[in-house]
Amino acid sequence: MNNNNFHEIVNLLNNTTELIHRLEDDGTISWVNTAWKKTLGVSDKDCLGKRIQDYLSEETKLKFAEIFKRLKNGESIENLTCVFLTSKNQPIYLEGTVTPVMEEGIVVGSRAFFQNVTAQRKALGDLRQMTNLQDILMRIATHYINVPINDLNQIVHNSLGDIASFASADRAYIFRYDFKNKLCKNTYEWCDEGINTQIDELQSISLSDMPYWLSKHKLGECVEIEDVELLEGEGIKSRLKLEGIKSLITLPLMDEGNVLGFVGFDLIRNKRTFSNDEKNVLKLFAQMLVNVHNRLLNAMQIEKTKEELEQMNETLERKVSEKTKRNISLSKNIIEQEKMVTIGEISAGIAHDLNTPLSTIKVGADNIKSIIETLFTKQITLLSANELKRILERIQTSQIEMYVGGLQLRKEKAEMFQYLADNYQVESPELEKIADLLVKSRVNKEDSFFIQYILELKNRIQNLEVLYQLQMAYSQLATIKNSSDKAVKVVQDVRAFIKGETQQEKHTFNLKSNIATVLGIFNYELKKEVDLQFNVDESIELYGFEIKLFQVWSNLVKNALEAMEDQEQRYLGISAEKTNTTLTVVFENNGPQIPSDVLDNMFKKFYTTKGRKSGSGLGLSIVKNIADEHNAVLNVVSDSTRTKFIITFKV
Amino acid sequence: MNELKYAVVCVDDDPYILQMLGFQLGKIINQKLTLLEYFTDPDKALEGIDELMAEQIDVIFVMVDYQMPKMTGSQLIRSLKLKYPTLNCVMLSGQANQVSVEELRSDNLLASFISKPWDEEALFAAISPIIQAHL
Repeated sequence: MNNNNFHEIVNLLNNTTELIHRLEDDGTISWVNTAWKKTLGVSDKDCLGKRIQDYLSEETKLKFAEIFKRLKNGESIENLTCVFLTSKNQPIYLEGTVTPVMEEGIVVGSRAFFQNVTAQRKALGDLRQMTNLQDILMRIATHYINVPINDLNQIVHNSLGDIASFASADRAYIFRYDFKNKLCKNTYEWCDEGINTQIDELQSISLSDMPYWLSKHKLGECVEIEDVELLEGEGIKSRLKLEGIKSLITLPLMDEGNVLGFVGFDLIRNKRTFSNDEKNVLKLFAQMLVNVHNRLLNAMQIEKTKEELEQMNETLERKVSEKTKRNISLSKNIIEQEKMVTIGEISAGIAHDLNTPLSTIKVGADNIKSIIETLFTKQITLLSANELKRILERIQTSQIEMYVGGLQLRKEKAEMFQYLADNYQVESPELEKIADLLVKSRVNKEDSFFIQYILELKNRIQNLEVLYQLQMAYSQLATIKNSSDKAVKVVQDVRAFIKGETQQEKHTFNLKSNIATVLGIFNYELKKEVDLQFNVDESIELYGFEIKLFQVWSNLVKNALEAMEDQEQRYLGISAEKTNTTLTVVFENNGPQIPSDVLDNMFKKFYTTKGRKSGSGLGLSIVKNIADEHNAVLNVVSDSTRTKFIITFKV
Repeated sequence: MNELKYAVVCVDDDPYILQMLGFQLGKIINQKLTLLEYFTDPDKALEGIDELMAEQIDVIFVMVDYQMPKMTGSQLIRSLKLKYPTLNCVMLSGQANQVSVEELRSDNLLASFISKPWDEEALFAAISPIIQAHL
C-alpha cells in the first residue's frame, strides 16, 4: 500500500458516519476517526494514548473484560451493543462489530466499527418510560378536550414539545396548506434548547417547491426523509440543508379526505429513522391536531356567531328603543284614540240621548204652532186686554205640571164639578165643560178667588180655553227649554270627554261633576237595567288632570257594564271617601268574580279577555297610566258577589 | 160624569215626551169616554193596564217607547200580548233595536211603529185607523 492509498483510506474512514477506533491489545486508543471524535466530543490529543475504558459507561465496562477475552482469542464480535460516554458524560449508544487485529497469528489489538443508535435508543427508552403509546396520546387528547378554548394555542405548542421529545426531534412544527394562494405557512413551532426558531422565515413557502410532499400528503401518506442529502427534485432541499436538518418526518393533517396541512419533526443533531410504532403515534397525534383544529374552528364559529348575535341584539335593542320612542309618542295618540273608540262604542246611546230632547223640542214647537193658530183663529180675539193680562198673570204664577194622568184628571174633574155645582149657579152642560177646562188648566178648588173671577166673566168658556191653550204653550216652552238644556248637556259632556288633553295642567275641580259628566255620556247604557248608586259628596274636590280622569271613570263604567252583561240584576255603585290624607274612589259592580290570572294581567297593555268581540285591551292600562300620573294607587278586589276598583289619591 | 168606556195608555220613561204626546192625543181622543193614561215606569204600566182590563175598560191601544229602564218596549209588548192577544200595541221610538222590532212585526205583535221625532200628522195617521176600528 503506497502512501497515497493509505491517505485515501484514512480519508474514507474519516468521512463515514460510522464510529471507528483502533486499540492496542491492552485497550489503549491508538487511532479514532472523525465521526468518533465528533460524536464523543474529543480531539486526537484528548484521546490518543488513553484507555478505552475511560470512554465507556459503567454498564459497558462490566462487559469489557469478556469482550477483550474473546478478542484475544481471535474472535470477532458482531452486533455488539455498548454505551460510550461523551466528554460531557452523555451516553452514546453504539451498535457494531469489533474485530481483533492479528500480526503473525498473534492478537496485537482490535478495531471497531460502530453505528450511532443513540436516537433510536432514546426514543425506545422514552417509549418505555410511558406505559404505552396510548398513554401519551390520552394525555394529550385529554388536554385537548378539557382545555378552555383560549388556552388551546398553548396546549398545541406544548404537545408539539411532548411529541418532539418522544420522537427525539429537535424541532416540531405545524404547517397549513393554502391551496388558494398555492402556499403553505408555518403556524406552530416548538424548538429544543439550542435550536434556532425558523417560523418567521416559513410564512409563505411555495407549494411548487415541494411537489413530492404535497402529492404524498394529498394521499394521506407521511413523508419521511432519513437523509436530507438524498432528497431530490424538491426546491425546499436547499432550505432544509441551510437549516442544518439531517432527517425529518412530516405527517399530513387529514380532515375527511382533505389535507389541511402537516405536522413535522426535524432532526438536526442526529439523523434517524422512525419505527412503525412511532409513526403510528405521530399519525394519531396528527389526527388529534385535526380534531383540535376543528374544535378551534367550531369555537371560532361559535364566537363569531355570538358576536353576530350580540351585534344583532344591539341593533335590535337600538331599533326597539327607537320604536319605543315612537310608541311613546304614539301612545299619546292611542290614549286619545281610545276615547274616540269609547265614544264610538256608545254613540248609539249618545244619539238616543240627543234624539229624545230633540224630539221633544220638535214636537213641542209643532204643538206651540198649532196652539197659536188655534188661539188666533178662535178664542183669543174675543178676549179683552184686561182678560188676557189676567190670564197671563195666572199662568206665570201657577205651577207647571207636565201632564196629569187620565184617572187623576177624572177624579179632579168630578170633584171640581161637585164643587162648582155646590157653590155656583151654573147650567149642567156648561158646568161640565168649565170643570174640565179648570182642571186641565191646573186650577183647583183652593183657587176660589180665580174661579170666582172666571165664572163672573161673560165669555168665561173662551177665557178658560185661552187659559188652557196658553198654559199648554207655556208648559211646552218650559219643556223645550229643559230639553234644549238636556241636549246641550249631552253635547257638553261629549265635548268635555273628547277634549284634547294637550297643555292641560293639573287643577282643582269638583269630583262629583267630573264623574257625572262621564255618567252623562253613558246615560243611555246605564238606563238599561242598571241599578246605579252614585254617592259622591258634592263638596269633594280633587287636584289633578280633569280631562284625563274622564277616561278613568269611563273605562271603569264601561268595564263594569261589560262585566255585568250576563247578570240578571246589575249594580253599579260609585262612592268616594275623603280623609285628611287620602281620597278613595270606589267603582263597585256585581259582575262575576275575576280569576286571579286575569287580575295579574288586567292592567297590562293590550290584555283583553274579550277576544275579538270588542276591546282594544287598552282600557284598564289607560286607567293604570292615568292613576300613576296622579300618584294614585289602583287596587282591584273581586269575589263572587262584588268586584271593586279602588283608586286612592293622596291629598 | 160619563161612564168610562175606553182607554189609551202611553209608556215612556221621559215625561217630556208624555207631555207632548198627551197634548196631541188629547186633540183626537174624546176624553169624555176615553181615559188617556201615562206611565214612565213599564212595571206600573203593566199594573195599570191590568186594572183597566179588570174594570172591563176597552184599551184602544198602548203606545210604548223602546228604551226604558228595567225593560224594553219590546219586552213590555210581548208580556202584554201574552195576556191580551188582541191589544193594539204601537211603538214610538227613536232608538229601537231593529232586530227586535222586526221580530215583533213578524210575530204580528205590532199595530204600528212611529219614530221619534214624529209629526202630528204621522201620529194621527198611524192611530186613527185603530181608533176608528174601535168606535
